[in-house]
Amino acid sequence: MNIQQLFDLSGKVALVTGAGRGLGRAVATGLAEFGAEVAAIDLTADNSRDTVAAVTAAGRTGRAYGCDVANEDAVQQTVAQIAADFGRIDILINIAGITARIPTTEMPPATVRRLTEVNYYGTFWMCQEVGKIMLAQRGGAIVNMSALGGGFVGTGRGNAAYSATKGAIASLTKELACEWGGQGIRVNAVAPCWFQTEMNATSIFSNKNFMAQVITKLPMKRIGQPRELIGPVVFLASEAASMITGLILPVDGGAAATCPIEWKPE
Amino acid sequence: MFELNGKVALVTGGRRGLGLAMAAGLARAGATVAVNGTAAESAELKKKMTAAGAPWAYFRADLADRDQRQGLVQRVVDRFGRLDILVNGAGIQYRQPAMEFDLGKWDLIISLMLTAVFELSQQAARVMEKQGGGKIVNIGSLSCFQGGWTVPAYTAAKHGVAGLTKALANEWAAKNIQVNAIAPGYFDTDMCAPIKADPVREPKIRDRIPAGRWGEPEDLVGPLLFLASDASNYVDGHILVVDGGWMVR
Repeated sequence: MNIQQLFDLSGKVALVTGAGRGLGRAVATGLAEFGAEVAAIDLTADNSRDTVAAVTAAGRTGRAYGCDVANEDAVQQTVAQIAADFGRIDILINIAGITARIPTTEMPPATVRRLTEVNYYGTFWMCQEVGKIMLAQRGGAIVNMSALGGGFVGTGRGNAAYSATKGAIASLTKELACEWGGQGIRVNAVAPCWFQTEMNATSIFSNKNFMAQVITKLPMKRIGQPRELIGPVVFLASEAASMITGLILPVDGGAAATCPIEWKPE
Repeated sequence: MFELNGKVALVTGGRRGLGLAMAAGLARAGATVAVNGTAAESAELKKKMTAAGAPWAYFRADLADRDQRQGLVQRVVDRFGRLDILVNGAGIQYRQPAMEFDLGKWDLIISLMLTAVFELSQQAARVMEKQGGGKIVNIGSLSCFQGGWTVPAYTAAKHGVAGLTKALANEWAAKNIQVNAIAPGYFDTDMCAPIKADPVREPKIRDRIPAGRWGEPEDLVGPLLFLASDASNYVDGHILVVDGGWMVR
């Protein structure tokens, strides 16, 4: 295999959830730039209009599907529709997710349930349905979305319920890697830190104090840009990662590995 | 995003095994490659590097010897003008029960597999800082995380490399030098030949690997190109396990 082919996704069909904006849109576009056809899932098909346009601009087929991933019946129908439309599914990228930044003692139960249903159940239902197709094909690559708070560190940011769903996704990733490893399906996850997305815009980046801490505490001294997730996801989805499964890959400017403290002589 | 055209890489321990596969992989991705090894240039090395189609040269130096490793990065810069990627791959294995373990072998392994990694990273980072950035990829092992059996020096060195990877990542992140490591699982190389040939241990190991197979040297090329290229610009201080799922079981 030559080096270009190692990362080439030509002829592959990729399903991306949460594809309408933010990291999902960046990743869906990136997969298309590396050759993949893209089925873009978001709450409504209309949400993914710009994503499909970007996929088309990259010269690939893109289709938008409306689906609430928290609902297993909707997932079943949508995955069946995508398999019918594209003929196969080689790559599954589970990005659909929500966050809520509320101190734990004040967190409404309905919010905890919704976070769990979208982030964790959504990932589970998608893996379950697409997993059946990949097992029948005897091959496929899944990349889930964990987070820095999903087992690497606690950050005390008032989103304990969110972080717990991301920890569940990390465990699910490792379990499925073992369960399906001998059948040609690789299951990995990325664990991003703070990225410049719409989801984070109001809750994080408008908070100057928070941003100042991020700059101090992240070794690379900056937040991530959505396109910086493309390399890690394309890598894990491609033949380049043929011997990698069960990995939770931090994409975090060094945060998980380190605890930088500025030292100045007194 | 994964191309290395115009980049200069130094691969230590690149004369054979995983190191040679990685050196050839970098060359196939467009990098000019400085290959380091202890012994004389081999026919296999020449054949593989020439086939890769990029400029390359062999830099003989025994990295267990401080005098020989001292000027290595400078020799590469003198020849190729710059250094963008350092792959610290040189390593040896020595098995003996800890109670009897030869202390000379201990010193040799720590010098070659830990101290030399630090010294070469230091030499490289001084060059990379002036150039505005660079990539250091250390080669770890499952022994970055696990204790192994009758290989105390190897395990200590590889745990050390894991810690060093994080320490240097932390210190050099803001200089745009990313420091990561690859931790290969069970790979079919000369170093693992005694285990691969063991009729008792080999099937036990294979059965525990979710992917159901040993790694081939070529399986390391993709992960290396990821960590050596712009595709991983926001990944730093990570020990990337390439093990067919061994560690998750």
